[in-house]
Amino acid sequence: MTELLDLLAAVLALTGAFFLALAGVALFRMPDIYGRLSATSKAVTFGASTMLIATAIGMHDPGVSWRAAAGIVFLLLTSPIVGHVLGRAAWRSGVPPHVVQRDPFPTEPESMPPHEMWDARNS
Amino acid sequence: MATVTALTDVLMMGAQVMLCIAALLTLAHLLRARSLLERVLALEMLSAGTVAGAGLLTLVIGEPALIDPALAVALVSFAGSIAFASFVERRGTDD
Repeated sequence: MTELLDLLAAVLALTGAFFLALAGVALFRMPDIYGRLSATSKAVTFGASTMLIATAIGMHDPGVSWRAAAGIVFLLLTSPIVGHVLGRAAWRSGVPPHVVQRDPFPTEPESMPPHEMWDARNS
Repeated sequence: MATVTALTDVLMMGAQVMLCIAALLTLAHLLRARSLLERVLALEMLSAGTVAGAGLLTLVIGEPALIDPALAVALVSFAGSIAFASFVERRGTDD
């Protein structure tokens, strides 16, 4: 039984670390800070919370579990606040959002597929 | 049960490698970023990775006291991000 609990903890730890790595990929894939904030705040909250759940399960220690639960609650409370405050600071200090404008009613069919158009606009 | 233990060890090692990848990507973005807010975002992510890493280290070496630094880092990084954001907002520019 203890081995299975440890296995569950390892699976949860791998999931959490995977989502943290996914947030790191999002830092490179997103075009501006608003997209980065939007992508990383969720992934980081989920990843760190899952990792703390893994710690709470795998340690077999009530004190550690309570502290991990307190950490999860703290993360869930503060992470949206940080995302909102950083986004508001970016908006009020005049960081332009990355907007791709396309003609909603094209008169002639577009000559290239959308991903090539994206590359042509952003190169 | 030996198979389960070996699988647990492999998964744990994979979690550590994955966490290293996340930290390296975040550090690369921290060095690459042009504006102050992007650096603050990268630092926030790095501190979240530190929280997760402290939890993972607690699990790996079995030391219960290591969960306390995770809470401390979460608290300090929250305060720091709020302070940086209000500073940028008051200053008016972001470069």
